[in-house]
Amino acid sequence: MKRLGGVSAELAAVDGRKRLNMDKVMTVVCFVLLLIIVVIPIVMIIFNAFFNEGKLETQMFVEQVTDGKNLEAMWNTLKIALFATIFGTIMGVFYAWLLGRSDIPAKGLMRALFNIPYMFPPFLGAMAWDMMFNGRSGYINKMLRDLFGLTQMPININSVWGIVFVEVSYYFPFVFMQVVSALERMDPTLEESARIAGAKQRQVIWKITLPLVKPAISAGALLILTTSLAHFGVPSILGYAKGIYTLPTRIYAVIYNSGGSFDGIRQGAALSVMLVVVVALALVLQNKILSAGNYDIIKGKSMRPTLIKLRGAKIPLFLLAILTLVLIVIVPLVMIVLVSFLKAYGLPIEFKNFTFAQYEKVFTANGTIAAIRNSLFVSITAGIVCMFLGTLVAYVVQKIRPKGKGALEVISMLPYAIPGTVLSIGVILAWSGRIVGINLYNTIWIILVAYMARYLSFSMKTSSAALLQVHSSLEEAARVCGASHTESLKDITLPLIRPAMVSGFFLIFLPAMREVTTSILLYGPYTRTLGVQIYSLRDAGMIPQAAALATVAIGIIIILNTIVTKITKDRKGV
Amino acid sequence: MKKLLALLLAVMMVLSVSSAFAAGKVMLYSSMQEAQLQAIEKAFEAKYPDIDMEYYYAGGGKLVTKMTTEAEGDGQIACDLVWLGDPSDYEAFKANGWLLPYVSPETDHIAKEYMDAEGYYTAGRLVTMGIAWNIGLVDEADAPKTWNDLLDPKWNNQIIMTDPSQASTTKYWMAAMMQSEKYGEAYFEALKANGVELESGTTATHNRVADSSYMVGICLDYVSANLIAEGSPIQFHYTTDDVITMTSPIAMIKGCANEENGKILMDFILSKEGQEVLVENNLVSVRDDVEMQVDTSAIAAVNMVVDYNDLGANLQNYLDNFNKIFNK
Repeated sequence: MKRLGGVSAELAAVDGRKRLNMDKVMTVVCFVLLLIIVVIPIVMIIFNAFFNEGKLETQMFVEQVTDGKNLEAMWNTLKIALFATIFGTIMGVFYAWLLGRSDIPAKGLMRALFNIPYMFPPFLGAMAWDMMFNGRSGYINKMLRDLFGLTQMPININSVWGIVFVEVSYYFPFVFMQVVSALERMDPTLEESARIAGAKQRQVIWKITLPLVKPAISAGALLILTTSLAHFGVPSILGYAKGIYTLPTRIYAVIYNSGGSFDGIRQGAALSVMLVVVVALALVLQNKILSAGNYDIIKGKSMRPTLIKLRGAKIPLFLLAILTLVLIVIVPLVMIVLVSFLKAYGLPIEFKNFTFAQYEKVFTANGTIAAIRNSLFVSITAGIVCMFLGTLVAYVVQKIRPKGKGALEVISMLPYAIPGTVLSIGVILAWSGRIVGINLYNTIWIILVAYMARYLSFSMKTSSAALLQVHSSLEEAARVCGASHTESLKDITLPLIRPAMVSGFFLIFLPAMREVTTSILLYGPYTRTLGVQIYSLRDAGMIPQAAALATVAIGIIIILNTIVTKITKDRKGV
Repeated sequence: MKKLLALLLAVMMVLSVSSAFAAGKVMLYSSMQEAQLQAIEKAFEAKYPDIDMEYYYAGGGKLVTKMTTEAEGDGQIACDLVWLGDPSDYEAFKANGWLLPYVSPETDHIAKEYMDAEGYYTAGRLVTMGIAWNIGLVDEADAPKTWNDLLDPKWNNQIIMTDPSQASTTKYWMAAMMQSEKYGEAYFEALKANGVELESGTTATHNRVADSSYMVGICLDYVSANLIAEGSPIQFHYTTDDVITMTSPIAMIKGCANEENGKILMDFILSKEGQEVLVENNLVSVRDDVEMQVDTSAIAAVNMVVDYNDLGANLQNYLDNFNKIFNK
């Protein structure tokens, strides 16, 4: 360490003021951008939750926080997030192990297929499950009831458990993907030595494999937890009619119940504070339970681990995996497509009730094409901007390490913990003419600003991880050979982390394409996003038309994803 | 790849900006169904090819939210015309100073009680609340005929209505019922006790009856008629007494960007030609010279008298009471 520090110091001395300046500029740019994108909206929320017309007024806040309905919503939010995290983690780890370390057949294909639930927008999943298992009228419910002569519907998806089920179905890939890649990077000799030392297979899994991938599990579980706490789509589609609220749907309802007055937005801000506190508590709790550690024994090099023979369990487990995929991907997809051909919702799904009219409506309606265009625009722009900004922040935090880097890191990660609904309210408060007359409301830019805040941490994390792997000796070597600081940055560091930057872009672009939580509060006459358009159609009761647009949206997502996989594959080849 | 992205990005930017600056535009905020707005757009643009009519469609509650946020932002509501279901909303708009008075020459054929005395708004169609039922579950003879029929235990847990916070038509109906001495709060308590549930949008309520989630619903005439025309398994009738009709007004926005085009569109909607487009789409016209299947005078004969001043003053109270009863 001393030696390295010495080199850096010498290099700084060689550079004189220049390096200092460049680093300073980058640091200042970082702080200013984060101030605008992240800090101002958050400050506006806190300010408006406690101050009214410039005066401290806590009465409204106290009223909101002690309101029975709001407390119930908070309880639901916690319950759903907790169970979604537990079940999602178990499911993710199980399938990651099955596909990563066992000799299950068709592994490559299965791996690809298991990434599909990640692409599938959860609120479309909720739509499909509601069509099938709505506690009053689900198509499959009706079928089962008539088949078995029941007096009641067998399954009620419009419940807390229904919400948990749908969230688990589409969130388990968070853990799955993390753990699969950790298993890949794990040094198999560790397991082998345990086996040689006489440990049984079960012991190896519990004592060696699981502890090694614990950081990956923990990271994935954290993602499920925060995503679920902040999620709007699924609880809103499945819970609203039954009066099951979570904090995000409650915030949405409060704003509309008040007829949209400023009071409503302030109440929303108060609830937002409550939601942020819940998220923070959950994060602390999660940290306590799964304190993440870094294990050096996970190497960057890929070694071929010994596969565990499933023997007799091979075929049943293979079938289970296939069944899971069919259940959470194919069945909802088929349902949405079938309903999209219906003349009117509620008619039996029979050929004589089918029509193309819904697709005709979708493609002649004013909003649809615009919605697709809007979504493409904001997700691409947010992806690109965040890719660079996130890398910049990561570089400043990891390599420049200025005073206050901790603050920088926390600020950039804040929106990651702050739900989209809350962010929307902050952005509305900040950018609808209240600060120095900047009014972005009703424009696409307000959605872009919110997306940037929301997704910045994604690209920052990937770039950060990549930068950690680029040892500073590489840059220093270039410097010793006479490269300037800019050159070493351009020729050494950036090329090394470029794959991470690109994957950071797609990590933002794909979820932003199907986003609904943030834009539902921000859209304007010309700026409906794809997610908002589907949500509004469904909300307005035009379910077959919503299903038709959802089918189109899923098509777009599949096409984009195929392109992405192609591009990233090509890249790896180069 | 980066170049490709950059190009794509540039194209997107140009596209999304260009549409906002098209010449000869008019923007309408409305809570009507999209199919009808499209029909009006088609007829209007056929007659005025130089004007690009745009509309923004959402439930009444959502639109009021939107307008409020816009007005509190930079003070300007981003549309030229607004056309919602509930006349009492317009009293609030007027008081907020959002509206531009405009009396269309077409109002010669529109009854005075359908217009604001100061010319701030004019009814664009008539909307009436009634009862719809699923034809697979309920016989027409058994379907509830009055509001009080809904309290019959045989409909326990089988009634759906729209959340009045979300839809201006149901809000008006709810407020009118709350205001009435015959019904009032006690009625809604009884309704709640009979297991009435809420849906978040008007059309959604109708579809919940259609998909057999509920046997009956408190529904709108034109939404039901549209669904029936599509083949949806529901049926609708008006109540035999205390019919609640509202005059879904249309109004100009003060300081709007396209005032002239806005007036042209308002004239068109109120004209015989425009109202006939509405009638073709199962809406009820406000004009005295448009032929319809619905007998408006028969409905008017059993209409419930609504005190507008009281509605304007107490709307929020009624809504709060409703929300309290329904534990929202």
